[in-house]
Amino acid sequence: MVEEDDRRIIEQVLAGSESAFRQILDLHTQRIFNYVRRMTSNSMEAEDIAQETFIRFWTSRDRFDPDRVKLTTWLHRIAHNLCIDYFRRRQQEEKQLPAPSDSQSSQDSPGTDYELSIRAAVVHKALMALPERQRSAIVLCHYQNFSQQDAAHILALSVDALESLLRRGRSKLKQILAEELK
Amino acid sequence: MNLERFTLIVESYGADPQQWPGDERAEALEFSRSSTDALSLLDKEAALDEHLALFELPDHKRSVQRIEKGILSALKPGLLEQLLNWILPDVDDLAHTLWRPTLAACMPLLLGVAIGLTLTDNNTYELSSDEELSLLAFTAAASEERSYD
Repeated sequence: MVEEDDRRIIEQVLAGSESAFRQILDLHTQRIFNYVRRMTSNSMEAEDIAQETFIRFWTSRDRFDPDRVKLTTWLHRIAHNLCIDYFRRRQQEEKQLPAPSDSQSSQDSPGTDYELSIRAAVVHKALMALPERQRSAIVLCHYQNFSQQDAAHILALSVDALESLLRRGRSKLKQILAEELK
Repeated sequence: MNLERFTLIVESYGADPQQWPGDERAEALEFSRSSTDALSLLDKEAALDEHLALFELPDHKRSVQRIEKGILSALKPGLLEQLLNWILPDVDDLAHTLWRPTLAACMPLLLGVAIGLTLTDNNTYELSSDEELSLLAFTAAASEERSYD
């Protein structure tokens, strides 16, 4: 499952080596951040979730079995679960808050990201309009370049279910983008 | 490979053959060359792939640095934990680390010796000449009493 060098680093991490953990950070932080960044509305939220992903990995490293799953798949799975927790929490908070007035709702929310180019923002907006699991399936397969088996493992699905999610997600994306780009 | 399966693959994974399932890629590619329906389907999905490719992320070096800094500071143990980690010997390397708990155990003894030395220094007292004379007088009186006895 893992290359020899990676295995050595992983074994050191599992034994509690902080310097080996730093190497893991150097290798995987960017990729995890990119995944979370595409899943969430802005960089600050993505930073918090990415940070929590590695802290969770470190504190429960005894649960990771390198013979069964690749480290990057495991990290993405933690990140995915944290994203789902985050969306649930945000939905609950939004339910508790009073509905925004028309003038407010037409403006960007504080979470809106201004760093993306206009074209990227249109695609991001379309992705954000998808249900979380469809979005996650597309981000994992299209942007993170995971194999079907690894993406299915991250989402805790069968490969058939993953294909179904991807197909529905892409179909919906086509509709949304067709309207946005009219 | 048939049109139904090819459609499912392309509608799920897009028009780029690199994204298709590895075990079906060759067959799907061959099928795409032989079917006009397959080609039009590829064109349709390629348009979505192009849109998806527009979502490029800007350089996130600073974000990544912040994340790593945050993680390392969150994992940094407190002073007490650091002290305990240092004192407790490494089970795999007892020969080189056993001196640490030994030193920690000796600390009360060393502290006691230090306090003792400090107190001894304070008790060093030089007699004044009057005090010496009165002590001599006591000694003389005592020896006289002994001689009477």
